[in-house]
Amino acid sequence: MGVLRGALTLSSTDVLSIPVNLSVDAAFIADAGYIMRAKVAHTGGAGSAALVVHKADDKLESSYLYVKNMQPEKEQYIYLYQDTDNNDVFAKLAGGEFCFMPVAVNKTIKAYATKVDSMIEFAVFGLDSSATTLA
Amino acid sequence: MATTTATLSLSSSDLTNQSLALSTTATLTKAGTLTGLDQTTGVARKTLSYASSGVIDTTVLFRADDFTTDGANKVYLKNTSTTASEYMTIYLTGDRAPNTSAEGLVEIGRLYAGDWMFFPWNATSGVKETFTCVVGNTWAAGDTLVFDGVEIVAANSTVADIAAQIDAAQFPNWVTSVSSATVTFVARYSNAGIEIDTSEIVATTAGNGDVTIATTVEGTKSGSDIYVKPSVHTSMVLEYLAISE
Repeated sequence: MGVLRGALTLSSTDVLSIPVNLSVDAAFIADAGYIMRAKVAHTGGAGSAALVVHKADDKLESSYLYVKNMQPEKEQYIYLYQDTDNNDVFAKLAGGEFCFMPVAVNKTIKAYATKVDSMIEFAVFGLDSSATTLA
Repeated sequence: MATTTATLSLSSSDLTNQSLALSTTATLTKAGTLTGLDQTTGVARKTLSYASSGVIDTTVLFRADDFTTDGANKVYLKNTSTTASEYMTIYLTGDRAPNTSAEGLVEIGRLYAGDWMFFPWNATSGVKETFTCVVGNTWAAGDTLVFDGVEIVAANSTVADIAAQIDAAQFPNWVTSVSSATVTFVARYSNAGIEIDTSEIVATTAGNGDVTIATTVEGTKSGSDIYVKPSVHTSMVLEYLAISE
């Protein structure tokens, strides 16, 4: 069993009248995972050519997804949606933005972009299911 | 302009042969601009508890209607439980086409004890139900109209004045505007499940005074309200923060 340590810091000196400095960390249980960069070729909404960033049932019990939009322009968005469930979009990442969240292990999540060949970095960690391959 | 930065670090010494160390930082800005996000709920905690395990249900944490639609809003959530088996399931309403037979909410994932998540939220709202209420025929001072738990007592017999009185009242679930004898009601929140008629707006008049109700905009569900459901009915504490446009 491995452990993935995750830490998040949110800070601001001026969004409130008092400084905001929130820092949390956690040990996420995982024994497998991957991190990679890929180009998202598909634009214009959900579709078979959208990039799979999380495959359903690849992990057991819990699965953690990290995605970063590597595009230099804020307006070059990456959309994440659940391919398993009616293509519900659940995240919209502007250029440079990232997310980290647990995702339902039985859902396939795909990405499409507003610009062809937008680069993203993504990672999935969790308890691996040997019954499912990424192929 | 407010400046808020978010830094995420992921590391592991035993997941791979080589140690994993990823760190990334983003400055949180409004959609499509370099202007910083300047609204926040502040860091808060909410206790989720139910009378028994059989009645555990979802709780609305954030309603999209309260935030800027298609904004670059960000949400942080943490399950503060220290009991390993206790988790919170996070859902969105979902922006699928209405009236599909799929699950009512879209599960994002589960936050186990101590887990947290940080994600963008574009707060896609739905359509707010809208209807008009025309005050008509002959009213008298002292006649009443009751709606949404609010009673209006007519100050005189002029229908435009009565409509103005209705508009001046504050309704818990509706906002209003008035034009002559017509009051337009707009729901405060998107909802596909409400339909108003004269059984909900009750006019009691000495003469033949009445109101005519007509739906002008059918409401639809919100696309991305955020819901939380605890795994146990005993108190579980959610820590949360929204930073928004």
